[in-house]
Amino acid sequence: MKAASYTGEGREYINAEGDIVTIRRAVRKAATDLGFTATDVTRVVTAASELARNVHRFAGSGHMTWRHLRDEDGAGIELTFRDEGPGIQNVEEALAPGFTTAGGLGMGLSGAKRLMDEMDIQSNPGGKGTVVTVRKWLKKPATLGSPQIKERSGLKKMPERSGTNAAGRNKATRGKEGTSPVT
Amino acid sequence: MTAESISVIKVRDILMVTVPPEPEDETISALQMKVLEEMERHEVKGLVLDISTVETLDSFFARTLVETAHMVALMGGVTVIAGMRPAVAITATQLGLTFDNLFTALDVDRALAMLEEGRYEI
Repeated sequence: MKAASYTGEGREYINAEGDIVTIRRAVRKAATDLGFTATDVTRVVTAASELARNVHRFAGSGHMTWRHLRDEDGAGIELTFRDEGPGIQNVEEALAPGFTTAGGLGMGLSGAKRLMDEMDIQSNPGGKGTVVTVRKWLKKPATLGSPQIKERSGLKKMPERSGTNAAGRNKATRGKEGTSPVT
Repeated sequence: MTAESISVIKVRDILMVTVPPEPEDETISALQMKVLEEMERHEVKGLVLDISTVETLDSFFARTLVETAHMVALMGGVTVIAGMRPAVAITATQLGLTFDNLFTALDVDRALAMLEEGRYEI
């Protein structure tokens, strides 16, 4: 991922099902503090809920670290979910909507990816665990398709990693919701 | 928010439940059981699930709501989900959640009217 400086961070542990709510609260506060719109806060919190549930369901325990990001273009939030569980056998397959191994709706990973701007998955099948990182950036009041947005999309594209990378910025949602400029 | 704090209220022949803002999975499952028990206890024609304070509707929550509505239907009742917030509706749609065969209303008032007047045919 592209280098960015961190202006705030926190960590929450996932040991029981009830910790999913604790994670939601922490992420809600972190996203609200940064100045996200109510809708974007809900998107980020819902994505966090799905990813925290995955940790609880597949690995039993793990933790989430949230960080406020800042780079030359603006500010955003990064959530990293880390566990020592069985890992994801096939990341591409796991990202397909409807894919499920646990009898759920199969919306966890794919849904979280759609709600965020960027997603990166590092997983080593065979018990080495999984690290899922998602980011969402504060929207600037620029129109979609403007040179600024195009350039930003290119800059923020995550580097391809061999095998396990599943990254992508959801360009379609960028710039749709006008917010006040980041200062 | 604990499971004990959820109350199911009977208004005339309709059951009303206000879902807490940030319920744990356990609370949502308990809510489902409680609703079905109350359905059996009272002679009601339906259930209004007020989700107007709910801030996060993830896939587990959505699945439980859809399941509950289906169970209530099997028992002969109709479920109306009332008061979904705009941010929640946007997020649920983007997340890919579907609420097939589920009746919705803008608020509790309209949900009650729907059930009382039987205006819930698709």
